[in-house]
Amino acid sequence: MRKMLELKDLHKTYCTKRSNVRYEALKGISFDACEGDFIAIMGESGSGKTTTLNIIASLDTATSGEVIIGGSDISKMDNKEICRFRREKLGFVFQDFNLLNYFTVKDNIAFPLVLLNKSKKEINERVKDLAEKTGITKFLNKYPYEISGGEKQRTAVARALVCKPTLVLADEPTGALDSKNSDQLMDLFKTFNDLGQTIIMVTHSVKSASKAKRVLFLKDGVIGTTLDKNEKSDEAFEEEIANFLYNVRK
Amino acid sequence: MKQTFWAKIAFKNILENKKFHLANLIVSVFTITSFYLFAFTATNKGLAVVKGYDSVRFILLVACVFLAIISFAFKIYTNRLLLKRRNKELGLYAAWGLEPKNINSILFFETLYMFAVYSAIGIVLGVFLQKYIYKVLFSLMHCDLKYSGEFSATNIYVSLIVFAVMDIIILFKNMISTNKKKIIALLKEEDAVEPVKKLRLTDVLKGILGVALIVGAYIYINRVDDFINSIRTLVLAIAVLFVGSFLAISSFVVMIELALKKNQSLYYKNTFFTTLAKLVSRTKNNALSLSVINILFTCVIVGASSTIALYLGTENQASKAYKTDGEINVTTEEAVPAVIDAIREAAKETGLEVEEIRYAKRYAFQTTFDESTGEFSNEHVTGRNLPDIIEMLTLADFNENENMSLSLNDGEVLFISDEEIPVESLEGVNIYGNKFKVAQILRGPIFTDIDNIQYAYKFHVIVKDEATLVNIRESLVAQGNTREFNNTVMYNVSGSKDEESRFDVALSDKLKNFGTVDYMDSNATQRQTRYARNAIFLFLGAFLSIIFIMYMIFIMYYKQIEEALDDIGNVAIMKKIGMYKTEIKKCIFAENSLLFFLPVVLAFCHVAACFNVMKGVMKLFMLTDMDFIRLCVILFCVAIFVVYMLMYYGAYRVYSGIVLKED
Repeated sequence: MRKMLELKDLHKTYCTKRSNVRYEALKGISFDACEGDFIAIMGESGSGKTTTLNIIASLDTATSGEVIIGGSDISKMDNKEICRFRREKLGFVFQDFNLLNYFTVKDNIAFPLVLLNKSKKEINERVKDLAEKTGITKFLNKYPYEISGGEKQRTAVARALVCKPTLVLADEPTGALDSKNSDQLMDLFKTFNDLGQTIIMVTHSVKSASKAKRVLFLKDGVIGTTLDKNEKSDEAFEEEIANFLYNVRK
Repeated sequence: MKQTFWAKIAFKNILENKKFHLANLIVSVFTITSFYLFAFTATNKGLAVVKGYDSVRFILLVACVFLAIISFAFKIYTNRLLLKRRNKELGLYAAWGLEPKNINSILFFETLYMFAVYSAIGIVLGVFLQKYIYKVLFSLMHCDLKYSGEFSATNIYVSLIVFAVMDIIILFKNMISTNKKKIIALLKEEDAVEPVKKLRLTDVLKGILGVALIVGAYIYINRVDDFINSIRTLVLAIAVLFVGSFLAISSFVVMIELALKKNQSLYYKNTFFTTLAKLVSRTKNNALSLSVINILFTCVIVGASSTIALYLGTENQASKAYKTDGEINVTTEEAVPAVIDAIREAAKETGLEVEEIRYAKRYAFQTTFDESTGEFSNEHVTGRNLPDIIEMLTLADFNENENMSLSLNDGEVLFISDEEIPVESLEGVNIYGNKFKVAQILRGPIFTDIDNIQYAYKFHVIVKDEATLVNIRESLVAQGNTREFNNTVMYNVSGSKDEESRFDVALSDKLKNFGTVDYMDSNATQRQTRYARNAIFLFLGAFLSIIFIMYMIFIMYYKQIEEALDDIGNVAIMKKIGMYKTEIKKCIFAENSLLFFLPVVLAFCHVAACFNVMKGVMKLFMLTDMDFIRLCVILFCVAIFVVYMLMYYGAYRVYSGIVLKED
């Protein structure tokens, strides 16, 4: 299967401006993701999972190491190339939805397509298709402040997928949702993953992680353990993850 | 807890929020300085040397009251903006357990510090500037400086009290509104995202009403020709114009933006997309601020350009007020030789030569004239806004003074009226029973008129000879009109304007004991009086315009900071999704430009529509050169537009600096 993402020996060191105190958030992260992969990254707060995701998303830069997405090394790109890359190849789903309140649901989904100068016809077709798949067709003309958290997150998913990205990155996508909406969202991710979409997700939720094909556990800036789902059911994988975490904490 | 504790917190708060307080402080300093200078100038004894001292002093005192009222209005408005931003902070105090009286103490000390700083700087600046302002003012007035530099504590007390009262009222208002609100409401007020409004039917109606009000006000303003009697309705029309502007901005413009949004081919273009979507909300939520900018901008253009035009036009207007250098009206013909002697003596004393002396017998009084029948009487009331005056002259006087050689037969008269009275088909006139055939119709003004003052509609009837004039007067005396003849002596002297002014003083000195002199006036006197009055208008116009411009800067600066802080999150999302920095900048620029140039465009429309009123008001102040007024207005519009662009660019830099800070 084609490699979609390669992380090679990623390091990230933060340095405070005034006191010059250095803090190493990532201490050599390396992993690959292939086309159609669904990877969950788990770990305690401060373990480096969001930093890893931000570097993959090109929202932050690594101190050293390589990030290759679809054959392109994003650490060697300039700002403009990164922006273009981000709008064409990546889709984002954030914990706090990151929807623009002055746009309707439809406009929020259409936003990445407008940036790519797509035609009105293509925009309407893609938005309609994604809205149907995510079940938000009836909210298309509403504004984000008029819909529920679950509906907002489904809008964010539709926006993330509207450009048919190489990779979808999700940062705690169920963090602001109740259990019912969380389940619905993860089912949605699973559906798109089954259709071939590569997804990398940072999460604290065992149940959410159990929908992924692989779970990476980060600890103190390095990948400690990797669990593969293989042919296990969601429930069995959830139990395995839970047991692993229980043993680690013990 | 001790009050010193709250005093310290208040001090720290001001430092923390210095970004918001600084602009307010600068405007407040300039406002109190202006108020003090107005009060100082009005009460300074040196002003008494100015011709028309009473009216000049009155204008300055009215300006003080006007400045106090507009300052108060703006303090309320700016306080509203500042308090909205601070509610979260006050809510946090309440959440930490501070009692309302503690929060009131903080608010009190904040107000006290701000008042102490701006009033101290403002008054010191005023006292420092007073001498220089006085010099500039007297130089503008073309007057010798009589600066009375004594330290006037009263003006300082008055300035401090007026502004302290304003601040106290606003402080109480803030205390009441803060104490009334629930903690949660205070905490959430700043965070509350102003929702994107969909236009309701009432908004559509408001938009249509706004446009209708503007159009209605424009039509009314352009139909008024009687400015003195229509002043109340004119003020009302201008108020309606500004209400209409607010409604048009808040609803009609939003309607247009929404219509553009519906055009998908346009809307789904890269720059239009975010710009239009944000504009709808920003226009709606900023309608009040934009309307205030609209009012201020219109006032600055109208006020400053008209006072500049008035002042710059003074020399030209005053020098040709009378066709000769001056005139003296004498009640008896016998006294005329003595007056002529006085003119010659005054000229000799001041080293000038008398170039020409003319004389005319005039018979004038107020009347009403029916242009359809040609009848002068006291019975018909005309629809005209100014009174009708009939002035009768002999043909000989008229020919001599107008350098003409017209002739009349018995029973014939020449009829002269203002351009706007339709008398082309008039065949005869009836002057209180004395009927004459109109030999010829001419148009004024003639030598007896002050050419740039229209205080009445003048009808001149030129009769064949003095005997006819005497007959008419006798007939009128029989009817109870005892008006005497006026014997007008007109003169021209050689010399510069300053020499003519000295001659004027010498002549008026000689004539003051002449009981028969009804009045004397001259171009030199007109020049001094007009310079004094127009300089005061320019002085007030300049100060008020600067204050208005400062308020505009404050509103733009403040709104840009406020909105930029709210927009940081949106811009971060745009960047995450992959929008280039240049694209974001382009959107911000387009959005802010459309938003902040909207009130300016509307202001230019208002000025163009109100030009008729400006012309009318200028006429009342004796400036009749319309091309000159138009030129002044256009040049000032260009100048203020350049200033506004600089202001806008500064505000835009503040906005983009905040939202793109992390780059």
